[in-house]
Amino acid sequence: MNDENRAKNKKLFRILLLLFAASYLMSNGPGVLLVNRPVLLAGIPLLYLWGLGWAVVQIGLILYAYFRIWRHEIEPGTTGPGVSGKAEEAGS
Amino acid sequence: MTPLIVILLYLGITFSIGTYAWWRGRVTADDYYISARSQGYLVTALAIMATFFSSFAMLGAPGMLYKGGIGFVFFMLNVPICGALIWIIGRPLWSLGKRHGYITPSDLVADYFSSDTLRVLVALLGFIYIIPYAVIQFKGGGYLFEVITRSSDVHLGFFTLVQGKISLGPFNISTHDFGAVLLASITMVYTIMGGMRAVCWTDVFQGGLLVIGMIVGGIITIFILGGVAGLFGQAAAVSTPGHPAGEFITLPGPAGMFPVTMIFTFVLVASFGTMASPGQWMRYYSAKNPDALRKSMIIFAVVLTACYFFGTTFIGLGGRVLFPELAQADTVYLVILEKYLPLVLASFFVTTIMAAAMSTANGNLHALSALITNDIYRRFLRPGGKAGQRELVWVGRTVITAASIVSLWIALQPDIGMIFKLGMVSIAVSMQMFPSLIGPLFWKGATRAGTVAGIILGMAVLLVTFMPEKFGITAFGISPLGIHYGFWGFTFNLAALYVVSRFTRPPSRETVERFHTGY
Repeated sequence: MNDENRAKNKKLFRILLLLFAASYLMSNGPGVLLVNRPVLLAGIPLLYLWGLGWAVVQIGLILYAYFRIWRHEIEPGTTGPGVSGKAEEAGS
Repeated sequence: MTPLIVILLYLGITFSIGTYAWWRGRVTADDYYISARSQGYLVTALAIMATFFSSFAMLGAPGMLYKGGIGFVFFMLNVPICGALIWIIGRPLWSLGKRHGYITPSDLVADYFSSDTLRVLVALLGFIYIIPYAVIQFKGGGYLFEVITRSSDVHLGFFTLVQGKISLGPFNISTHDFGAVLLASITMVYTIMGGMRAVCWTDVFQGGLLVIGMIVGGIITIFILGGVAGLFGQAAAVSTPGHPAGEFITLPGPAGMFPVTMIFTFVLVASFGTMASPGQWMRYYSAKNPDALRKSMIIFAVVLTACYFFGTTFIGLGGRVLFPELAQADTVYLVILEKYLPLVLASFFVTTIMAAAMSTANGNLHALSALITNDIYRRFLRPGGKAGQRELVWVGRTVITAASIVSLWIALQPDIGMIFKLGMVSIAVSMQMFPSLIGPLFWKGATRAGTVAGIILGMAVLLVTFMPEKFGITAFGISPLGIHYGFWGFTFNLAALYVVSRFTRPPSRETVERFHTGY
């Protein structure tokens, strides 16, 4: 990985971290007060849907980071990830 | 007889896996404590999951939903954070562990700061975290055995099991104590024999079981209550005197357990505290390569979040609808199993809860043996590499034996209220260890003095905010301003780390380079 890509990935990681923090504020912080009402949507409590929705967003961010940044990181002493993302031992 | 057979079958399989791991292992400290850094992604993922899932996840969490309503759902959002941490901290820890040959958390922290004080402090935090946790798991195992065999009537030669009592010739023991002894003994023996390999391989089996237990438990509850909408519709109508319908599906819930400040701060404490605990830290070291951690992160975040949202939540909320008058909320899952499943299936699902207890106990006892053997025995009692590989393994085995016996002895005491209190605070204690990672992994300005000051101040604040009455403070209750005591400790810990580090000297340039480059 060259320096330019490394810098790009670092920037992308910081953006994703900020988005994750924002999603946390919405799910477990003041954001949850926006939907704190005894309302059912399609028979499911609004608060449950809110929590589940933000969990999906957070897992989505992790998956995005996995496929866009982490999966392609080359470990020192390895030849880099193969198609499956597995970093093979150098010389193997 | 059926419950006994199912439990013995489960314990037999677990023990066989542990024995096989021992047969495949080698008698070296590296192999015994971190599986010679050889675990693939599936073993790593399930071992991290099984250690994370204690008996609390299967009994306590549905109980919290039963008592406090839907607010507990937000506590479950610690799982995606934990998943991300497996990579964000696990990967650099793996890299540094492999490069410098670390076995315990203290190895890394002490090496970076060149400090034996920090080595002992981190080991001490690990000790405070682990013992109460192991006690609670053994106690939970005894309780499960008592519940599942309460209607048993078995007479086999000298052996009888009748009305909560087991007799073997002239010896009598309650089913609770027998269950705790049985669970502790089997856990102890296979952990002693096979070390980390046995812990991780049994965790794979146990991790699989507990995922089944949670998801199927949720499905059963939905089925009984006529579907998801039926379950939630009836949960929304739950009311008690002074608490009208609707409170059960809003914050802070009918018991006022879940104010927003608490769900915000507790989830951070639970996620950072758990993923920085010694047992998890050593799982990062034992991964075969970073790819194992990368995939573990995904498996952990997706599977466990599903288990909580589609298993635990349905069991807890549905249980409240089905059995509104339970005296002990944390028995709700057991009551559902007992009432709605045939005995053989109910017994099987109880073993999934036992699996949760055993997989947490074994990982933590094993981590404790590494802390004492590596950080105390090898460093201070046999310094300069005097202790050979075999000796280190045997000292570790002795420590596991002693720690298991002590934990079991405490678990068998009639009143362990104080230990339960310590168990509650253990994750918060583990979180005070997290700032010791900031220097080696994230901030080059962190100093030895700053890290020591942070841990000491963090622990002091944690204790005061957890037990203010013990310090003669009556101005506030537990957790001032509804903020979790662990978070108070963590905040002061970080503040002290920053302030003291600004005025003291960081590690040498070579040390900083050695840690902050190359991964």
